[in-house]
Parts: sequence; C-alpha cells; structure tokens
Amino acid sequence: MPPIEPAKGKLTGSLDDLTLDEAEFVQELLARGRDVAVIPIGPSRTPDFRVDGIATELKMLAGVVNQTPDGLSSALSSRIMDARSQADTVIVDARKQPGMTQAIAQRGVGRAVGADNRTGKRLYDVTVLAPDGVVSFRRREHGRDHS
Amino acid sequence: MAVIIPEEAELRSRILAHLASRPGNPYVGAVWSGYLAGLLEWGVIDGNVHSRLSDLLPMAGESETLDVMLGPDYVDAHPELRTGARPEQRRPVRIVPTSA
Repeated sequence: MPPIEPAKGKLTGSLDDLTLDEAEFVQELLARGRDVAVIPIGPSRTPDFRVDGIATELKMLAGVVNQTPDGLSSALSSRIMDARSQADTVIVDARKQPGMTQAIAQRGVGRAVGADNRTGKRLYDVTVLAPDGVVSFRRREHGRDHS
Repeated sequence: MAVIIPEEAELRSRILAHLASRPGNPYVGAVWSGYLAGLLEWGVIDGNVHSRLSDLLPMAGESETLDVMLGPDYVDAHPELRTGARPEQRRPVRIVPTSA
C-alpha cells in the first residue's frame, strides 16, 4: 500500500459522517491542494461541500448494474441532474464504476447538460472523473464566474 | 467515414430559415430540439453551443426531448422537468421570411 500523501489543502469540518469513498475523494482533493469544507446539514442527509470556497455537490458512481454505454451514460446523466438541485457545481467520481470510460462519460455529461439547457440552465460546472480520463463542462453564459 | 463538424453559424442559419419557412408549425422546433440533442450526446457540438442554439427554438417537444436525453423513466419520476424552461429564459425569435 503506497504511503498517504500529506494533505496540502485545508480541511474544514470532519470526515466522520462521509462514506469511505467520499472521505477518500476529499483526501485526494486535499492532496491536490484544494481546500475542502465539509458542512453537516442534518442527521439523515449527506453533508454539503465547499471546494475552494465554492458550493460543490460531490457524487460517487460505482454500482450501476446496466453497464452498456446507454445504461452507464444514462445513470451518469441522472446523477448529474439529481445533483443540480443541490449545487450548480458538480463533481462525479466514476473511477470505480465498471465499464465506465471517458467516452461514455462524455455522453452522459452531454445528456445531462442538454436536459439542463432545456430546463433552466442550472448547471454551471460539471466534472466527471472516469477511469481513463476527465470530462468537464463549464457554462460560458452563466452570468458569473467562479474563477 | 469522415465526420464533418458543423459550424454553429451554419446550424443557426438553418434553424432560423426553417422556422421562418414554417411559421407556427410546432414540429419544426421539436425536430430541431431532437436533432441538437443527438449532436450534443455524440460530441459533435458542445454544451454551450447546444445552449445557444436551443434558445432559438420555440417551446415544442420539450418532454419528448427530455425523454431522449434522460430516458422516459427518469422524466416520469421527475414531473417538474416537464414544465420545461422558464419562458423568460427564452430569447424572442425574429422570424425573417426567406426568399425563394
């Protein structure tokens, strides 16, 4: 087992209420120098996150049974659409999803962004981590810029 | 097979010309909505181009387009999606008759 890199980013809050996958992902963000705040919001709900000060919805995708390209891209688009009600910045970690590829992730992001474009344009920034690469979308007409 | 990536301006011109040639026909907007959904899913256009071109379209076929993109089961489970985009979000489309 490789040694755990010391955290470079700043963690605010506790990892205790996170799932193992979520906690690992937060540790990875910290190791990459991102500041992460974990904000507990209630006993039965997943905590909110702020990454570098930006409200961010973190989602994991790992247990999709239908591993056809249609099934995986559909599951991803659903996950993104679900996330947009929580935050306009969404990160989906799909690296542990069997069958997922960057190309399929691109399809899933396209399906979600297309639906979002027709239903309110609430998504601003979407990032999907696939086993073989990263797919991202950033809206350029949102009227604000996080950077 | 060679893939030719369409320019946004070309698609915009075709959409506006089609809308102008069939004023009031809701199927024109619905067909283009599905057409653009396909181009986006298969990576021919990006999400920002899709957004701008979709804004040209009248409200028609919204639910069916969402069915294509998200699947009917997801849309049925989220009836709030069927209300479509807020009307104020759409830019007015100026229909310019095309010459024959």
